[in-house]
Amino acid sequence: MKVLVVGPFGVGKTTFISSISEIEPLTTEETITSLSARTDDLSATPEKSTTTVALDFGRLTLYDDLVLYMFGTPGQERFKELWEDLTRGALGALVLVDPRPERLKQSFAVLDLVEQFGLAYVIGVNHFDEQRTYPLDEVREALSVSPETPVVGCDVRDRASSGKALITLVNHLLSLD
Amino acid sequence: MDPDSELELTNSLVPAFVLTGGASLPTENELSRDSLVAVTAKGLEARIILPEAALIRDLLSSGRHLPVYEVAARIQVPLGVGRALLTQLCDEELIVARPPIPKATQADRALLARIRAGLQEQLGA
Repeated sequence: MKVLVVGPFGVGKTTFISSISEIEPLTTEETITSLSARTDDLSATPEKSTTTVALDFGRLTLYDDLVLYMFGTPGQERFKELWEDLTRGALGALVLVDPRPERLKQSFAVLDLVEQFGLAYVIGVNHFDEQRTYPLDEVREALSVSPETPVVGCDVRDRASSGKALITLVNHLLSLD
Repeated sequence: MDPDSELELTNSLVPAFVLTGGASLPTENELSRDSLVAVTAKGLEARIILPEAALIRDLLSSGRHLPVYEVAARIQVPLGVGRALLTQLCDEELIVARPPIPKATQADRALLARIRAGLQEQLGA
């Protein structure tokens, strides 16, 4: 089974996966030909435009016959082809956000993609600031996600806290029927 | 002298496409990025020359199925190269591919409940 851990760069996806995964999180990369109006001309263009996207990967064996695979990826419109592959058959997504006001807006693009692909998701608000915590209701409002979408706080460095976020996702999926 | 040491041709100066032994990239349908692969009996016994292919064989020798993503990450090649290599090994019947990580449907409540129980057990959450 596959779940996605998505969010902007530096939001804690790799840390989250390393907290949960039974293996050291692996990073691989995929080269993607950028989509543009000039796609058809690319074969004739010497400086073919490609970009590389990093993918984090981790796994957790739940039972002998049930393995959870976690994929961490930044959500950018130009990596849509990869998203199509990643979202196929995925249970859902955990969208990690950084609640600091100046960082929160970086999550909009990811949320757009998740909704575009029709993925069920929950918001995980990573604990960034030792000085203050951000009320989850405020984060929900700032992101303008629907009231049914769970918003949970989590500390991605902590295994149990990260696990709780994943369980929130599974509970959310169970409530969707 | 270990004959295999002569085959250590790979370093960061060798372009990625060399690793595929000249094979071109597989089409989308051959091996998807989340197909699961395992080594065959033939693969375990075969003399494999391409160093990356040998690494893949060693990686799979425990008998476990691994997704294409994980194989590529572990042998430290880009995903596209990993897919090309694995497709080639499949064609030679040194490995077998299983269909991608199975699709979850919303109706599959029993499975979700099982995942939840497993997470609670494994993570103490």
